[in-house]
Formats: sequence, structure tokens, C-alpha cells
Amino acid sequence: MMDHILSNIIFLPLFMAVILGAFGANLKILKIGALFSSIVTLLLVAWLTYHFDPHAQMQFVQNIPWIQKSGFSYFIGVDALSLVVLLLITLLMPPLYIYMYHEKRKGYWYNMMLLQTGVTGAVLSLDLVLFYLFWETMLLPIFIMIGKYGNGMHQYNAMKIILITILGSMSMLFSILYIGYMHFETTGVWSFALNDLSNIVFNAKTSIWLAAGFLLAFAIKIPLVGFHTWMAPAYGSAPTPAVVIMSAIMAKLGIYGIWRFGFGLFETTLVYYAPTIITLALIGLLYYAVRAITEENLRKMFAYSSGSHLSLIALGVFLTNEYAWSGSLYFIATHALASAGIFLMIGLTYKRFKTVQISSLGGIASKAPKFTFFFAFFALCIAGLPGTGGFVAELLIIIGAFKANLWIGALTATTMLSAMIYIFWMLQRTLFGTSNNNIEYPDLTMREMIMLLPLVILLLATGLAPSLFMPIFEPHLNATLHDVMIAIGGLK
Amino acid sequence: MIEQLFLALPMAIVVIGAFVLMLISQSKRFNLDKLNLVAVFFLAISLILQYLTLGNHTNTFLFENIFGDSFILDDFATIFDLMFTAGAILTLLINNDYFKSRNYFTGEYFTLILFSVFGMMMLSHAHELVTAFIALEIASLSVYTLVGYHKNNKISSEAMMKYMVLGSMTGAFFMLGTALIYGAVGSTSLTAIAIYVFGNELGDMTLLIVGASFIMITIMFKIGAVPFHTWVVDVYHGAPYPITMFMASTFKIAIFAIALRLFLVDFAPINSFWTEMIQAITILTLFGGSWLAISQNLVKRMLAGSSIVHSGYLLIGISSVALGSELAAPAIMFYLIAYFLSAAGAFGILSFISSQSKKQMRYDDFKGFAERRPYMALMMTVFMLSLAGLPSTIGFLGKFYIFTSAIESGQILLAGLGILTAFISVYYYFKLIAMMYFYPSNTPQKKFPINISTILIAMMALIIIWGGIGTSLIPFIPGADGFIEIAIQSISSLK
Amino acid sequence: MLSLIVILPFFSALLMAIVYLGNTKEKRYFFYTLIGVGTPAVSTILSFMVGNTLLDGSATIHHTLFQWISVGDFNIEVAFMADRLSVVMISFITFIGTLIHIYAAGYIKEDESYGKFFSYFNLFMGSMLLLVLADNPIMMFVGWELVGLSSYLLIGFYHQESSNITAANKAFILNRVGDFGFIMAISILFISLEGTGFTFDSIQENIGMIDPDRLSLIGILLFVGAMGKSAQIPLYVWLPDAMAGPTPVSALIHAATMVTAGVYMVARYSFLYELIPDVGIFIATIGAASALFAAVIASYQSDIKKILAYSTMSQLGYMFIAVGLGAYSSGIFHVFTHAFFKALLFMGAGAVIIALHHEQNIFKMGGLKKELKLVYITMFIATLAISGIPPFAGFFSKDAILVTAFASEHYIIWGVGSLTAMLTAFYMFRLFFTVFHAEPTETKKVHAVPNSMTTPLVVLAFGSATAGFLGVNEAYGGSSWFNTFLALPDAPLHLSHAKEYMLGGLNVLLGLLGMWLAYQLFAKDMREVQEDKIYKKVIINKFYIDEIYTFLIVKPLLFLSNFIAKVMDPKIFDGLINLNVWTYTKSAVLFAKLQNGKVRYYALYILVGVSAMSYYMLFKLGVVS
Repeated sequence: MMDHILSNIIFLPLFMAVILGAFGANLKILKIGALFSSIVTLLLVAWLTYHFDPHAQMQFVQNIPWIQKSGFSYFIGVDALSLVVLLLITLLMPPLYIYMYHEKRKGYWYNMMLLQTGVTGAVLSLDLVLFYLFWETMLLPIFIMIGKYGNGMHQYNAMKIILITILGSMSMLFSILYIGYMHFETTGVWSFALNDLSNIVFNAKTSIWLAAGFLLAFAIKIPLVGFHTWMAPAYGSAPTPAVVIMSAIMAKLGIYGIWRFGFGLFETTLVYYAPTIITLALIGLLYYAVRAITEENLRKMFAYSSGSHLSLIALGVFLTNEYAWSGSLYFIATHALASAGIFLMIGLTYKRFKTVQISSLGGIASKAPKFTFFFAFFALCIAGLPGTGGFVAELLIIIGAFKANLWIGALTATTMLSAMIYIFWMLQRTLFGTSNNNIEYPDLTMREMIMLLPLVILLLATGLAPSLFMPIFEPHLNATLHDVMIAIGGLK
Repeated sequence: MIEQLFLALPMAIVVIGAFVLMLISQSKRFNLDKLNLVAVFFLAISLILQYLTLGNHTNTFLFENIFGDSFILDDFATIFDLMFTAGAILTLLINNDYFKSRNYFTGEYFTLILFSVFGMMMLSHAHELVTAFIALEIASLSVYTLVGYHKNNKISSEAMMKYMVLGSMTGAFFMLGTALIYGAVGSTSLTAIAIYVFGNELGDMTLLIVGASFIMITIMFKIGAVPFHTWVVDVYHGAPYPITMFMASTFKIAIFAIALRLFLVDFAPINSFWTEMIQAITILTLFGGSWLAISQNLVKRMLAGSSIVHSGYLLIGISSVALGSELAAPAIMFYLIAYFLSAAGAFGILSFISSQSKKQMRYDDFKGFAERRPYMALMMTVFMLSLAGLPSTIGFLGKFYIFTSAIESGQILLAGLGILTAFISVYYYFKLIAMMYFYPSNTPQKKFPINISTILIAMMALIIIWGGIGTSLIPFIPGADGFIEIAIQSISSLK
Repeated sequence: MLSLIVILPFFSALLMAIVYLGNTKEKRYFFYTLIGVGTPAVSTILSFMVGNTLLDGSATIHHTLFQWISVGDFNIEVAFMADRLSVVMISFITFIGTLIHIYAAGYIKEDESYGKFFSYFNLFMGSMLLLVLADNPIMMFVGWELVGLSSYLLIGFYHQESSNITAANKAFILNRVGDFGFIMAISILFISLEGTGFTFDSIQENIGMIDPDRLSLIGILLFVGAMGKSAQIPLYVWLPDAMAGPTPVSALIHAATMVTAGVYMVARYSFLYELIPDVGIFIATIGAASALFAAVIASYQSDIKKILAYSTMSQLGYMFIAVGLGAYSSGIFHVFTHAFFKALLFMGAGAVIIALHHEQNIFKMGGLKKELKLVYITMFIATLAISGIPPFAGFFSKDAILVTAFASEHYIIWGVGSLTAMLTAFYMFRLFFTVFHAEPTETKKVHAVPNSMTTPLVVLAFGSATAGFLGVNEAYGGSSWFNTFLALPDAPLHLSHAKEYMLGGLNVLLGLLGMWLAYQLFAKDMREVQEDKIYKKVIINKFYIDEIYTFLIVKPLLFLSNFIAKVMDPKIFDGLINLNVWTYTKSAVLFAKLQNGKVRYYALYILVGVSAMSYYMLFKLGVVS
């Protein structure tokens, strides 16, 4: 079990899904199986984290030839960067399954398991083709879940999201093919393994549009402003678990991709792109936030909110200094937890009141205090309340931005203002005010609290004692940053 | 002499089978099931024999003392034969229900299938232009008849007319080309042509080049390259589902047997002459095909349009060959295999489910299909993904090799356009998936019918997946590596 | 011990929150009171003990809890520092805070979310103490933010009323605007001092490394933070609305805690501000402006709590005059004395409001001096104190500030200050007379006030009467012990005692004048202010500042948001995509039209193709060129 642990983590859910599907398991078994797989993976990842050495680079590597004829290899491994995302995925799955407790449609559960395999694989794979495979694989469940179990004009939106994201991945595919061929041309052997390809030296012009191929895919996934039109519809009409995965994991994978493949393959070119992307990110930071103010649909509001924060993360990544980088990675984690929490709360809101339109809510606070507490807590986490992880991350990114440049810093600091305006106005209209006596305001049940408490505890822990968590990835980030700096000649 | 016979047997058996069927099809004691079995029986024997001969060809030419060098024996041909017979078998078995559901199917049907298979095999072995032409015509004529098999159906017979007229019109170009080449070389045997071509400068071969170009016209027509594509959609639409399946999966490939033989071997030195032309045709085909595909409502017509796009991808490969890409030839071969499997599967399911309903399947008819037939829908999804070229299917690898070959030969633009059309194709393939999954079904879920057709379809789906992700690390199951192996082997035998 | 002072309130807040959420229906009056009031009491004792150790001459006390974060040079510890400044602050914060807690226990006895209230209240205390005791700017900022948050929770305590939440949002958002400046300031500070540690001590050592321009930038940005918290122009608008909260909340926010944070922060950074006197003058000017502005508005308000709110703003203006002109200890001194009498005033007002069944309009009160004897007396003391009548606390502190202003030759600021002093006396006695002396318009049944509310009043009254003596300067025969104890880098001021006496006398005179005016106008029969004259209309409507802000900031934001929603996203971004799709599908349709099912056309296409190929051949073969 423990050798090839990564493969187990990736494929256990898929395996479980196939087994259950093959035997046509009934709903009860299906639920138990799904939950079981998620918990086992969580335990495995816990074991992994325990045995993880922060100072080493790639660990638990498994590199076996896959399709030798064309040099594909089944090459997976985990380093601090992927460990963070891996932890997030496995931490979020059990709560999601608890959330889906009443879900009767079997396909839902199968999709979730397939989805977990997809995202996990994408995070862990170090071979470009393998990565591309998982990158596409994780789209299908989302496509089905939005289209089949979604609401609103979900069929249309599902098509929209799949097409726009696949446009991105196709452009990435093109770059992958080209790089692979360049490797073949220079060395005479086919390989798509990251560590082989990173040795290739591109001429500036080629690498600029090769990088563009990757960046387009990631920019759409994040999404940076301008590539975002799929976001609000998708979040608006996706079922809650899908939304959680999209905002908490898949969007982060865009950033992860930039980090792993962007900086892994052509760091110098990314420096060339940095001004553009920093500008886009700064625009996005405010653009989404302002847009969110008048958004009436809670899901969409927090879609924009997460767009805004992901722009901030992207900004941090492209600032390439230690504070911004640590901040971004930390924000990936904490924002994932917070947005998971808030979207789960929105899901519960929908379960209770059959609407997520702010205008038709209100007065919850006086009837359902627990519900109010959790809702407000997660909302405040999004707003970067001190004492929660988001605050630490934003603080670091702001400092990093100021280190880069006074003006970038000033603009970045506006995140202090931008988030809170829509959040507090939303809270006022959603939770407070006079409550309608004709409708029920059921408070949180025990199960729902159990589902949410881990998130709350983690958010508080990450906020109160970052020094507990940061050492996991600090050394790796510094090392990577050092290499990048040398590569771009920022360091003599 | 005996081994010569042994080598001739695969083809011979198919012909014999055809005649046998013709005789027994009149008797009342043989209903369609039995006839079908007989046909499959003969094809199966032929298939086995081909498999045995694969890789151990003692002679290069069949009955050299009689036919001269007009019939070549090599793995290339044999592998094509394998595909033809496999395609025919699949067509016959998967559509067994379909035949019974339609009253217009009679015994001759099987005879014709076998004749066309024989024609194709002859084509793949043909090493002499006139032989090739005859082979092509044998195959085509039977397919023409098959297309119009539903006599009292207007669309069907109209389709046959179109196909017939245009087909013979382009066939004339083939004859003309042959004549010109004969004029230049003084022989129609490919050996002689090869010697001539390799022996002369490009400038001195005008006549031959013109002839070759005329032959190319026929090929372009048969594979449905724009602007010779117009028949494809109508004919695919008009033909009964089994025939469409047969044409799309099998007959289309047959053309490449001769095309590759010509352009990879005999015309190799003068390929560069056509580069720009082929590129232009490729771009037209890619876009024309996807334009046709997205503007259709009938799934059948959509698949027809998409098959044009796939010809476009193959053309990318051919133009890469022309530009001297090492990878291109195996890439084309692999793509043919991948396309053969995916198309056969997709059309197979299509005709299988339309055997219940009399009308043509539109997109909307698939609404809620996933709830009625979850497993069928799953397989259809697999085929669609493979056609769209998403990873973890064999279709992805096919595109992968085609595009890398294009990049290798420096045709960045073609590779880019190829990927673009691949992206567009995602739309019309995923539209079908969306239809199947996104809409509830009013009719209750039916049990998964276990019969020969479904089992075959399931097998193909598995092969497609395994061909996409299968690794040779697991013994006894070839997987992707195996298919690549086959492709390379067949190409390398082409000398 | 030091850390306990901060941790205890947080802990009890958490505890009560959990208990409350556990079962919201149950009252648990005793439990909540014990924890809620007990904790600040304990912190008070602890703070006094800490203060005592410092009095014994021991230097600054540091206490580190744990490493909070360490990224590169960004090493921040959760650490507390008790120097003389912070000790003074925490002692009166905890002390007065405790009194307010006791008072609150009586005030909201009836409210069903009693436990929630005390949970918030302790959270507030904890945040404030964290802010004061923080050993580095980051921790201070955390406290700073948490104070804002808890004030939001407390102001919006009556959340059924949506307008209260609006007030709370306003408070939080304007505070956050301040925090925006604060965070920028400390980020720049950190970047400029990168690698030399980031505690107040180390900053003080290395402050010289920063060039003056950047230093002034930092100074101004920090002061923006102060503007937000301490309700100075232009970020003051939240303060009056903050009265939406229960009266104890107003007392806590306005007297001892929150609003004084800005002044404290400037004093905390005195080592920075002494290097940039120009910024100091800017601060002082803002302070003076706010002082006068608020006083003018206060003179025309009729809501008792609003009047007190504006008086707070005005007093804060004094404090900023002081710290701006470099008289940091005088500023803190005024904070100190102000804490007593302002708390007292609010609590008195609260008592009156309770007594009159939540009536807040002073012109509907009147003649209460019989019914509420105790409240009457204590309020009187407080009013004298705030009006700067010797020997009450307000006199000494305010006098010190005005003397500084005069001595540092900023006569305009001094003039404004003196004028404000008179206005202060006027509006405070206006309030006092209308409430207690004037003939009541209608007779009303007066509700009894519980002891838990009155006892704190007495204690505070004593404080407001005597607190001033701690800081009597030598001119009045004292040794200005308070200032010497604080030992802040005050700007030296040279002024002959004669001048000081003159100034002091003048203040007293102005105070008395204001008193007399008020007496003339309101003591006998009160007349509610009418909007008869345009200038009154303007003043009563608080110079329409809120409306102006709405017009300048809120409206444009909403417009922009709608613009994005209606135009940018659908028309521009989606528009581009849809345009591409449209062109593609259109061309597809056109192309499909060629597929018209007529064989002759098909043949034609083929022939076209053939001829194209033939032309290509001819071209290639060089026949045509």
C-alpha cells in the first residue's frame, strides 16, 4: 500500500467507482464506498505528509515507462507545492460527501469519485502528457454535473465551460507537442517528463509562444480577467459540490500549473509575461470585486469573489519574491478552505430556502444563530478577517507587492477594501434584518456542523499559528525561487 | 505452388464465400441469420488465414509466373486485409438485428459485402495500376449497389445515383491517369513506374506527374476531400445504417491502402511536387468538414461531416510525408486504425439503436438516452471522445502522432489548424454526449441486452480505451504500444 | 501575566460564544455575568500589578508567546510589550471597561441574547488590549482590525433593525479605509527596514535608515489609519451612527477604547513622528478642524447620544492637536481624563434613556433633577469636567494642550482650540440644562434605574473629579507626574508661568461664557432647534457630509458595478466570443448551402477542383507563370 502510495491516492476513488459501477451497487453501498475511498485517501495523504521531508524536492517519485514508443511515462511525484493542493483535495472530499448525504442520484457520486481522481492526478503528474490526460479527465465530471444536475440554463452553461476550457487545453496541447518534438529533435529520444524537458534551451521567440500556449490554458482556468466569461454561469448553475471543487481546487490548479510547468519549463519567458499578467491580475482584483457588489445571486457573487482573490494569488506568483510566493501558496490553501466553506453554506441556504437570491433572503440571524455564525464566519474569512488564514496570506502578498513596487503595492492593498464592501452588504441583506414569520428557519443540524467544523478549525489554526504550516513548503519555495532568480539572472 | 495457394487463400475464400452465398441465398431454408453466419464464417476463416500469413511472406508477388508483379504480398497489405475483414465481420454481426428489422434485406446483400471486401483486399495487394482500378471498381460497384439497397426508399436510391455518377466520373480520371503514365513509362506495373520515377529528374516526368495527379483526383474523391466531398454527406445519409458503417469504417480505409502504396513508395521522389496543393486541400477539408459537421441535425450526417474532417487529418499526414517526415507514415497508419475502431463503434451503436426505430436519429432523439441505456450511452461517449481526440482514448494518440509529424515536417500552421478543428469537433461530439446525459428520460430504464452486437460494441469501446492508455508493461495485451508496433511494421514492410 | 491580560478576554469570549451557540434559548444569567464581568475585572487587577512593577522603576516588560510567522526576514512573534505608555493605557482601559461591563450587566439584563452581548464585549476588550500591548506593528494591526470587527458586531447588535446594520457596516468600512492606510504604512515600513527586525524597539533603533520623504509618507498613511479609528475628518461619519448600538457599547467605544486607539498609535510611533514635524502639523490641523466642526454640529443636535458622539469627536480633535504638535504625553493625558468623564456622560445618558423608556431626544426630557438625583449630580461633575472648569479633570488636560498649541506658535490652531472649548461648554450645558433643569414638555412616568448602573457612575464621577491631579504641571504647583512617567519624546515648550496662567484663565472664562449662554437659552424653558435659517438647516443636517459621500463614492461604485454587469461582461467579453462563434456558424451554414443535393452542382464542384489542380500543375510545371 505504502510503496506506490501516490498511485493509490490517485486511483483509489476511480477504482472504487469502477468496482461499484460494475456491480451496480445500490445507493447505500455507493455512499459508503465513496466516503470510504475519500477517508482512506485522506489517511494516506496524512501518512504521506507525516513522512514528507520539506527540504527534499520531489519525493515518493514513481517513474515507469508508459507508452514507450512515444516516450510517455507514468511519472508522478510530490513536492511541497503539490502536497499543499493534494492536502486540500483530500481534506475537502469527506465534507463534500457528508454534504451529499441526501443525494439520491447515483451518477452524482460516481462523478465525484472520478473528479477526485482527475484533480489528484493532475496535481501529482510530472509527465506533460499524463498531466494533460488528467487535466482533461477532470473536465468530464464537471461537464456532466453541471449539465445534468445543475440549475438555471445548465445545459448551455455546461457546453460553454467545457468549450472555453478545452480551447485552453488544446492550446496547451499544441505547446506540449512542440516541446516534446524539440526534445526528440535535440536528443533523439521521445520524452515528455518535466525534468527532461526543462533542460531544453529555447530561443526567445519560440518559448514566448510556447509559454503562451500554457498560459492561455491556465489563465482560463484561474480565470484572469478577460478569460472569465465562463466563470459566473458555471458557478451559478453548477451543483454545490461541483462549485466547491471548481473554486477550491480547479481554479487553484491554474495557479499550480503556472508554478509547476510555467516556471518549470520557461521561467525567463514568464518574466517577459510578468508585466502583462500583473496588470491583468490587478485589474481583475478590482474588476471582479466591483462586479460582485451588485450581484444578486450568492453563488455568482462568490464566483466573482474567488475570481478576485485568484487574481491576487496569480499576482503574487508573478511578483516572484519570497513574501509574495509564500503568501500565494498559503492563500491557495486558506482560500480553498474558506471558499469551500462559503459555498457549502450557500448550498445549505439553497437547501433551506430554495433560493440563493439575496433579495429573497434575510432575517436569518434572529432565527438560526448557528447557521448565521458559520455563514458569517466563512464570509469574513473571505474578507480576510485577522485570525484566519486568509489574513496572513493577504498580508504576505501585500508586503511582497510593496517589495516589488510602491504602486503595485498600493493597488494590491486595495484587496483590504474591495472584498469587504460586497461581503458586508451581502451579510446585511442575507442574514440580518427582520425575519419573515411565515417561513421556517431551520438551524444547522449536527451533521452539517460536523461537516463544517473541520474547515473552521483549520481556518483558525492557519490564521493563529501560520508558523505551524508554513515550514512545510517554505524551504521548497525558497529553493525554487532561488533557481528561478538564477535562471532570470536576478541573482548573480 | 502450394504455399502460393496458401497465400492466395485469404482472398480466394472471400470470393468463394461470396459465390456460395449467392447460390444458397435463393433457398428458403436459409433465413437472414443463417446467411449472416455463413458470411461471417467465411470472413472469419479468411481473417485467421491473414493473421497466419502476417509477418511470414515467403514470396513478394502472388503467382508471379502467372500474374507477373500485379499482386504484391506484404504485411502492409495483410494488415489492411485484416481491417477490411474485421470491419465486414463487425458490420455483419452488429447489424444482425437491423437486417431483420428491415424487410428489404435479402441474401444478395451478404454476397455484395463479400465482393466488396474482396475488391478491397485486391486493392490493398494491387501492384499494378489497371489491377488497382479493377479492384477499386469491384469494391465500388458493390458498395454502390449496397447504398441503393433500399430500392423503394427515395433518399437511398438517390444517394446511389449520386455516388454512382460522381464515382464513375472520377473513376475516369483514374483510367486517364493510368493511360498517361503508361504513355510515359510504357508499363503500368508499379515496379516499372518506381524504376522510371527514381531514374529520372523531376523536370522530365511531366506526363507521369500529370497522370499521377489524375489518379490522385480519384483518391481525393473517395476519401471525400474538399472540394470532392459533396457526395459524402448525402450518400452516408441515404445509405442504410449498416452500409454507412461499412463505408465509413472500412471502405474509406481501403482507398488509403492504394494511396499510401503509391505515395509512400512509388511516387516518393515526386511527392514534393504536390506539397502546396495537398496543404491547400487539407485546410479546405479540415474546415469544410467541420463546417458541414456543426450544421447538421441528423447524427448520421454529423458523423459523415466529421469523417471528412478525419480525412483532413490524414491528409495532414500525407503532406507531412511529402515534406519528408519520418513519423508521418506510421502516424497515418495508426490514425487509420484508430479511426477505423472509433467510427465502426460509433456507427455501430447508431445502427444498433436505430434498428428499433424506423426514423433517422436526430440529436434530440438522444435526449435521456443515458437513463434508458446507461451502458450504451457510456460506450457512445467513449467513441465520441475518441473521435474528438480526447486523451485516454486511441483517438488522442492518433491525433498526437499526426500533429507531431506535422510539426516535424515544419508545418506549424497545419498542426495549429488541425488542433483548432479538433477543438471545433469537440463541440459537435460533446453535443451528442450532452444530449444523452443532460436530459431526463420519460421511458423507464431498459436492461442491458447481452447479445453479440452489444458485446462486440463493448469490446471495441474497451479496445479504444486500452489503445489509448494501455501499456505494454502488462503482457499479452498489446495496448497502445501494440498498435504503434503494428503501424510501424506495416509501413516498414512497404518496400 | 502580561499575556494573560490579553488572552483572558479572548478566551472568555470564545467560551461564552460556544455556550451561547450551544443553546441560545437558555438564559444562564449568572454564568454570563460571572464570566463576562469577571474577566475584565481580573484583567484590571493584572494590569494594575503590571503597572505597579513599572512604577517600581523596572523598565519595559516583554513577553513572547510564540513565533507567529517566519518568512524570509518577516519574523513576527505573538509578543506583548508593557512600557509606560501601554501600561497607562491598559490600566484605565481595563478599569473603565470593567465599570462599563458592570453597568451593561444591568442595562441589557432583559435582552434574550445576553450571552452573545458579553461574548462580543469581551472580544472587544481583548482586541483593544492586544492593540495596546502589541510588541510589533503586525500584532498591533491585528488588534486594530479586530477592534473594528467587534465594534461592527456591537453596533449591529440589534440586527433586526436593518438601519443598525447599515450603521455597523459604515463603521466597519470607514475603519477599514483607515486600515488600508495602516497596512500600507507598515508594509512600506517593513520593506524599508527589511532585515533589521520588526518590533517597535528595533524599528525605533533603525528608523534613521529611512529617508525623510518615505518617512513622511509612512507617517501620513499611519495617520489615515488613525483618522478611521479616531473619527477625524474626513473619516468620522461612522461615529454618530455608531450610536445605533446599545448605550454601554457607545460608552465603551467612545470613552476608553476604540476611538482613542488612533491617538495611542500616534504616540506609539512618536519616535517616528518626531522626525517629521510637518506631518505633525498636518495632524494637528486635522485635529483642530475636527474639533471645531464637531463642536458646531453638536450645538445643534437634539439626540442626547448624538451630541455626546460629536463631543467625543471634538475631544479627539484636541488629542490630535496635542500629539500632532509633539506633546504626546499631553495627548495621552487628555485621553486618560476624557475616558473618565466621557464614560460617565454616556452612562448617565444611558440611565436617563432607560429611565424614560428609550427616549433619546433631549427636548422631550427636562426637569429630571428630582427623579434622578444621583445621575444628576454625577452628570454635573462630568459636564464641568468636559467643559474644562477647574479643578475637574478636563481642565488640566485640555489646558495643557492649548498651552502647547500656543507655545509652539500655531496661534490659529490655538484659537480654534479655545473657541471649541467655549462651544464645548455651551453644548454640554445645553444638554445638561435641557435634560435636568428645563420644564418638561409633558409629564412622564420615570422608570427606576438599577444599582448596577448607578454605582459605576459614582466611581467615575470621583475619577472625573480627581483624575486631573495626576498631571498638574508645575505652573499650578504640580510636577506633571503623568508626563514624566510616560517619558515620551515630547517637544519641549518654553512658556513663562504668567502666560500659562493667562491661557488657563482664558479657558476658564470661555468655559463659563459657554455655560452662561446655555443657561440663558435652555435652563428656563427649552426650545427645540428649528431649521428656520439656512445655516441652521445646514448644521442640523451635519453639513450634508453623508449625502456628499453617497454621491461621490457609493453611487459611482454601484454604477460601475452595474456597468460591468450590463455592458462589460455580456457585451464586450462575451460579445467577442459570441461574435467568433456567430461568424463561424454563419460560414458553416453558407458552406452547407453548397450541399444542395443536386448532382450537377456536385459534379461542378469536382470539376472546379480538377481545374484548380490542373492550373496548379501547369503552374508548377512552368507552362504558365
